[in-house]
This record gives sequence, C-alpha cells and structure tokens, in this order.
Amino acid sequence: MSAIGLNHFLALGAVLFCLGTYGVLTRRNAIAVLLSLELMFNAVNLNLVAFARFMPNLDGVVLAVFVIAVAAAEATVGVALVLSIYRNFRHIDLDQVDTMKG
Amino acid sequence: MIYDPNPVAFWLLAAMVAGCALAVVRARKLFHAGLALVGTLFAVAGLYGLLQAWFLAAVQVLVYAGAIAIMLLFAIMLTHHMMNPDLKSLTTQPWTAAALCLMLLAVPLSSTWQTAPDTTLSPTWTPKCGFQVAEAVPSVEALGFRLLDPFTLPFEMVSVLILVSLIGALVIARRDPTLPEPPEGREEKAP
Repeated sequence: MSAIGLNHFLALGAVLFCLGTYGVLTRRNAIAVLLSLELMFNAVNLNLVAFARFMPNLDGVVLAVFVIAVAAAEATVGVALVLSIYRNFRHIDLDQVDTMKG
Repeated sequence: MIYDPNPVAFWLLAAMVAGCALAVVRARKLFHAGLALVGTLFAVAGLYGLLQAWFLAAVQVLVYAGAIAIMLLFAIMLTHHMMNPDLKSLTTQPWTAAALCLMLLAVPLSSTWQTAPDTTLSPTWTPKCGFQVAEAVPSVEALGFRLLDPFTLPFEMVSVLILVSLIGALVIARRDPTLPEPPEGREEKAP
C-alpha cells in the first residue's frame, strides 16, 4: 500500500461530488435532492481541507468553515421550502411541482 | 516531522464515504438514505481528523451530523410515512445520469494524476505547482486569528446570512392564515 498523498484526497472528493451530482440528477424527491446536495458540499470541503493541509496555509480551513455555515443556511431554507410545498401539494415530487412551468 | 497519513485509516474511511454516499443516492427508502448521509458525514469528519484539522472535524460532527442531518431526518419524517417503500424516488433515466457523472468524474481524475503523478509515491514529494507538505499542525488559535484578521467581512456576512435564513425559513414555513386549509389525505404515489 503506497503512501497517501494529496491526490488521494482530491480523487475521493471528486468521487463524492459525482455521487452527489448523480443523486441531484436522478432523485425526484425534494428531500433526497437536499441530501445529495449535502454530499456535494462535503466533497468541496474535503478538497479545501486537503489543500489546506498539504499547503502550509490555513485559508482552506477558514473557507471550509464558511462553506459549512452556508450549507446550514441552505438546508434550513430548503427544508422550509419542502415543508411549504408539502403543505400545498401533499407531496414533494419535483416532477409534479410544475405550476410555474411555461 | 513529515505528514504521512495512515493508509489503512484512509482507505477504510474512503470506503465508508463512498459506500454511504452510494447508499444516499440509491437507497429505495428515503429514511435509509438519511441514515446513510449521517454515516457519510461521520466518515468525512474522520477524514478531517486524518488531515489533522481537528477543529473542523468537531464542527463537522456538531453542525453537520448533529444539526443538519437531524433536520433533514425530521423533514423526511414530517413528509412521509416512515419507511414507505413505495416511494418512487428514482427517475426513469438513471443510466443517462450515471454516464454524465462518470464523464464528470473522468476530468478531475485524469488531470490530477497527469499533472502530479509522483504524489502517490512519496509524501515528501515537492510538486511542480509549488505545494509543500506542511510540517506543523495549524492550531485552533491560529484559525481563530485568521478568521478575524483578514476574513472579518466574510465572517460578519455569514452571521448576517444565517440570521436572514433563519427569518426566511420561519416566513416560508409559516402557514398563511388567509389561505384555505389544503385538502386532507396524502397523495404520495406518483401517477
């Protein structure tokens, strides 16, 4: 087993990001899309922290803290939207929430 | 001291991250997807620990696995019958999406391994783009000073953002008293 370098963390981040993209593209349930979005946030954070560790620089960790805060705000508003949609439509199937479709 | 992460720990955590993430996007029951997300978040926290970002590992467990994941699980339980297996939550085109994502994955993977093939061989490797492996572990104290010295404006903006999202979530989720009650009965099955 070879030593673990920066590339391993970057590759894992890429895999995680692509799994999140796959979830966003395929899921029809709004909450499942939110779960997949969290995967993508984590992939970005993993890359930031890996760069911060392999570069003698703390800025990546600071940026990751900001990303976590923004992700928390996004999840809050997302869940509120999902609950609002559920109250009006009685489901949260994104394919059927098309009232504003042109 | 040269930073050399434990390969066994890395591969275990990487397998846990990939497996749980796959469960998040593929699980048929939405509640299982939520639980798998918690597993992914804990594994990513472990990776932060492996990268010696202790503060971020703690924040990850507290904020992500503790708050965000629980909120999403609550949302799942508020909008679905628990463990409903009839939920059609996958589209009819998973293969198109999988092909797209594999293409998306190929780009960063090929570029990282082409520009720096030696990183995998030696932790002491000095890359062309000028990275050096940091020797000292950055302390939490340094992180706090960094957060307040050059990053004051984003720090304050994030606090404003969180306040705004809090109020916005309350406004969005509040039931509008002027609207009539929505019809009762669940329509969870897609036609």
